Amino acid sequence: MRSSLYRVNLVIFLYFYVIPICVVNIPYSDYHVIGKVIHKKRCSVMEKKLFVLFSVFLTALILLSAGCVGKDSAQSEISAEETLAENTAEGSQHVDVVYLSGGDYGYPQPFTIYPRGPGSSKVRMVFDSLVERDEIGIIPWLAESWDVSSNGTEYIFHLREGVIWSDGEPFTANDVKFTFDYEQKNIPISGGIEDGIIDNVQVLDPNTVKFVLSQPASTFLYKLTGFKIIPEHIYKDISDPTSFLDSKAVTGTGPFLLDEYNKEHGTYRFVTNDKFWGPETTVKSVEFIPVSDSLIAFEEGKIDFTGISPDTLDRFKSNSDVRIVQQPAFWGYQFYFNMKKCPELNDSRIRQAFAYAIDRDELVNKIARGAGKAGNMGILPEDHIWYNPNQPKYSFDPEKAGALLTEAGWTDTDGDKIRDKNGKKLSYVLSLSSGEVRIGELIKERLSEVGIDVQVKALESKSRDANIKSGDFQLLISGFGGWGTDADYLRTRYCDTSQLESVSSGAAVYGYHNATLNALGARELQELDDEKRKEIIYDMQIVLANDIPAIPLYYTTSYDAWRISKYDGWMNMYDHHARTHSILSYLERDGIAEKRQH
Amino acid sequence: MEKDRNSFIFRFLSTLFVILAINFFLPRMMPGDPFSTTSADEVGEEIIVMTEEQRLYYMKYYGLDRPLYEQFSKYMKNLITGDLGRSIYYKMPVRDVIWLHLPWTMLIVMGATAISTISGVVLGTVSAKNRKKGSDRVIMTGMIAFAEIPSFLLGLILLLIFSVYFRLFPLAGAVTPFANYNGPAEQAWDILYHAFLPVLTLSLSQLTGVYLLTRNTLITVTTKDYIRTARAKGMGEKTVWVRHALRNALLPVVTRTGFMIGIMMGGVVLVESVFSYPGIGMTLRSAVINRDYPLIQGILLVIAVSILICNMLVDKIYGKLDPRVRI
Repeated sequence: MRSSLYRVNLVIFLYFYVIPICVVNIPYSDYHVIGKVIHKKRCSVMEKKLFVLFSVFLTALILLSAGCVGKDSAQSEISAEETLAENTAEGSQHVDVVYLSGGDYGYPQPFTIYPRGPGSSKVRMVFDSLVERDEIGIIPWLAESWDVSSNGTEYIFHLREGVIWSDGEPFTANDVKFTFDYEQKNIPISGGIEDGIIDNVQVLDPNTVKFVLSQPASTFLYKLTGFKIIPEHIYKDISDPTSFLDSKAVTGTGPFLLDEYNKEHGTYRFVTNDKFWGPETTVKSVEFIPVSDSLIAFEEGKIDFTGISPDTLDRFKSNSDVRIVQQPAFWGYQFYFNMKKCPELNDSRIRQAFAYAIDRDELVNKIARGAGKAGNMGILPEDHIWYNPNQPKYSFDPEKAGALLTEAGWTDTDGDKIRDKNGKKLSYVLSLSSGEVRIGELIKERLSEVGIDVQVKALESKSRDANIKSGDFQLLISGFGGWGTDADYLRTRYCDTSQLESVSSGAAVYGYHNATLNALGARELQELDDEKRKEIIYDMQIVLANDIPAIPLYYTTSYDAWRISKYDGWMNMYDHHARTHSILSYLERDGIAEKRQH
Repeated sequence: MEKDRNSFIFRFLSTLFVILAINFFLPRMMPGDPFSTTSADEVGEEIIVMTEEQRLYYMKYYGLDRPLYEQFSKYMKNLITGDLGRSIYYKMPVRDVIWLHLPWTMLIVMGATAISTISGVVLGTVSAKNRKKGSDRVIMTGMIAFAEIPSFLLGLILLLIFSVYFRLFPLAGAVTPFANYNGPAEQAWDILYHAFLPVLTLSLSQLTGVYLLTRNTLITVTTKDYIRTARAKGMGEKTVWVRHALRNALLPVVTRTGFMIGIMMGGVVLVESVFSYPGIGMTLRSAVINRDYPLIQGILLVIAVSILICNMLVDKIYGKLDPRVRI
C-alpha cells in the first residue's frame, strides 16, 4: 500500500512540481530566499542554461530511481482484471524462522495492545481462547466440546485435559471463570465480551465450565473466539493490567512465547512454546522486523510475506517461487445518510436514487485503480460466507435515479439544475476525511448529473469520527475493516432496537428505522440453528438492498505474496483477510478441525 | 546583572507557563477523544472500535471525565514532581516513551545540523571566493535544485539508490533487529550505519539555507571597509578571509542554526517515516492522530524546552563571537 502511495506522490511531484519549476524556470521569486537571490543577481544566460541542464538531469534521476512509474500505472487496470494463473509448485511446510513486517502494536497481552493495527493477532500467538476459527467456521480449541441447553441460555464447555500455562501451572476451569470476572472490572482492549450477554460463569469441575447467558445469543460462540483466557495465578494480584508490562503478563497457553519485544524499533520475536498442548508448530519462530516499504523488503528477502497492490503484481507473476493469492475483500468505504438531520432522506426512493446515481464501478476503476469490488446494497461483501447473491442490484443508471426523484416529488423548478420541493433543495454537505476527497469529488460529479447538489467537506479523520458519533453530519463517508465478521453486524448497525450491546455507530444515531429489519434482527439473534439463521441473514440483505440505509461504495481487494520455498503453510480464517493473523497458519493441521461441532 | 538574570528567569518561566497551557488545552480542543475512533486512517488499516461501555470505562480510567480545570491543575501538580503522566495509546509513562524515541531524533537532528552547517559554510566560502566563476555557478545551481526537493522524496531517492540498487545501506530502522553485539564499538557502528541515510537526507534538505546565507553574507562583508583596511595592512589573504570576513559572516549562520533545530524537529517526521526510523516525530504524529493527550503534551513540552535552550545557547555563542552584544 505504501509503495503505491509513494508512486502517486512521485507522479504528482513530477508533473506539478519539478517540470513547472525546472522547465519554466523558477516562477517562485516571491516566496523563497533563493528566488530573491536569483532575482537580485539577475542570473547570467550561462547560469540559466546550467540551471536548466541540472534540472533536466535531476528529473531524469528521479524518473530512473522511481523505476517504471509510467509502466506500472498504465498496466494497473489490466492486471487487476486478469485472473491470476495459479502457482502449482509445492512449497515448504516447515521452517525455522519466518520474517514478517513489524511495527509497534503494543505489548501482546489483552489490556496493553494498541487499538490501531494488528495488535490482537499478536495476543493470539500467546493466548488461547475456548474456540478458534479456521477456513470454514468455528473449531474446538481449549474447549474440546460443548453442550448447549435447548433454550440456548446455557453452554457447558468440556475443557481439554493436561493443558498447562507456559510457566508450568496447570490450566483449569477456574482460569476461565477468573478471566470473565476479571474483565468485568478491567475491560480489555479487544476480546472482552460486552455487558449483558453473559449472566454468570460457573465452574462445575476442574475441566468443565458453564456459561449462563442473560438471553439466547447466536453470536456467543463467535464472540468467544476472541475471548482470550488469562492465568488466574498471575493476574489475580494485578489491580491495573493496563500498566502490566512485565514478562509474566505474557504467560499463556498458546503455541508461542514472546521471546523479545522492542517498543521503539517495533520488533517482536515469538518462539515455540514447548509446553503447548496442541499441534506442532510448523514455524519454529516468528520475527516481526521494521520495514520502510514492505514490497522492497520482500524483494530484498528481508521478509517472507507481504501484501501487494494489484499494480505491482507484474513484478512477481513470472517468479515461480512466489505465490500470489487475492485476499478476501473485507475492507470498505461506506456512504452514510443522516435521516435525523435531513428528514426528506427518510423517503427510501431518494436513497435508492443515490444508489443508482453513484457510479461505484467508476470509483473502483479511478480511485482504487481496479483494486476493489463495487459495494452491494445488501451490505455484506461477496466474499462473506453468508452473502446473498439474489438481492436487488443497483447498476449505474442516472435516468432511473432521476425518475425516482421525480416520482418522489423532487423536480428542478427554478432552473438551477438542483432539484427542489416546497422550497427545499436537494443540497447536502458530504463530510469525509482528507484522504477521501477524490471519492467525494467523483460522487459530487455524478450526483450533480441527477440534480443533487453536494459540497465536499474534508475533515481530519478523528473529527469526522466525532461527527459520526454525535450525528453531526448530513452525508458522510468512512472507511473501515471487519466486513467479513459475523453477519450480526447487519443488526447492530441498521436495527435501532439493538437489545444487547451499546453500539457506537448504530442506526439510532442517524435516524434509520425499519420495523421489518428490526424483527428479522431480533430473530437472527435468537436463532441457534446456523442454516435457519443464514436464511434470516439472507432476508435481511434483501430488506437492506431495497431500503438502502447506507451505501457501501466499494470493498478494497489486495493480494498476498509469499515465498513458497521459505514457507507455504499460510491459511485464512473464514471471516478475516490477513493470513498472518491466523494462528493456524503456524501450526500442523492435524485433525483439530475434524472435531468441528455441527 | 542580578536584575537582568531575574528578569531573564521570569521571562523564561512565563514563556514556559504559556507553552504548558497551550499544550494542555489545544489538544483537548480538537474534536474527538482517544477512544471514539470508528474509521481507519488509511486503506486496509484495522482498528478496534470500542463500544460505548468500553469508551466510558477508559475515559474514567484516565480521568478524562473530570472537569478540565481539575485535569489541568492535576497536570501542573504532577509536572512539578517531574511526572509527565501516562500515555493513553502506548500504556507507558510518557517519560519512558519520550526517552525511548527522543535520542534517535536527537541523533539525526544533531548530526544533520552539524553536517549541514559545516559543509554549508565551507561551500558558501568557496562560492563567495570564486564569485561569478565556474565553481560558484555549479555549486549554486546544484544547491538551488536541492533546496526545493521535499525531504521525503529526497529520502526515498537516496533509499532507492543506496539501499535498493547498490545495497550499501539498510532499508529501515535504527539498528539491526535482534542483533547481538560484540562490544560497544560494534553497536555504535551499527547505529551510525543505520543513521547515515536519514542524516544525509536531513542535511541535504537544510544545506542550501546555510550555504546561501554564508555566501551572501560573505559577499556583503567583503565589500566592507574593514576588509579593505585589513588588506591594506598587508595581511595574508587567508587571514583576511578567516579572521575578518568569516568571523563576521558567521553571526547570522549561528542564529540560523539555533532556529534550524526547531524547524528540523517539525520536518524530521517525514524523514523518519521514509526510513521507518523510531524517532519522536512519528511518535508525535501517532499521538495526535490518536488524541493521546498526555503524550502530545509531553513531546511538545520537550520540543519547546529544547528550542528555548537552543535559543539561549545561540545568545551565548553570539556574545562570544560578537563582543558588542555581550551582556
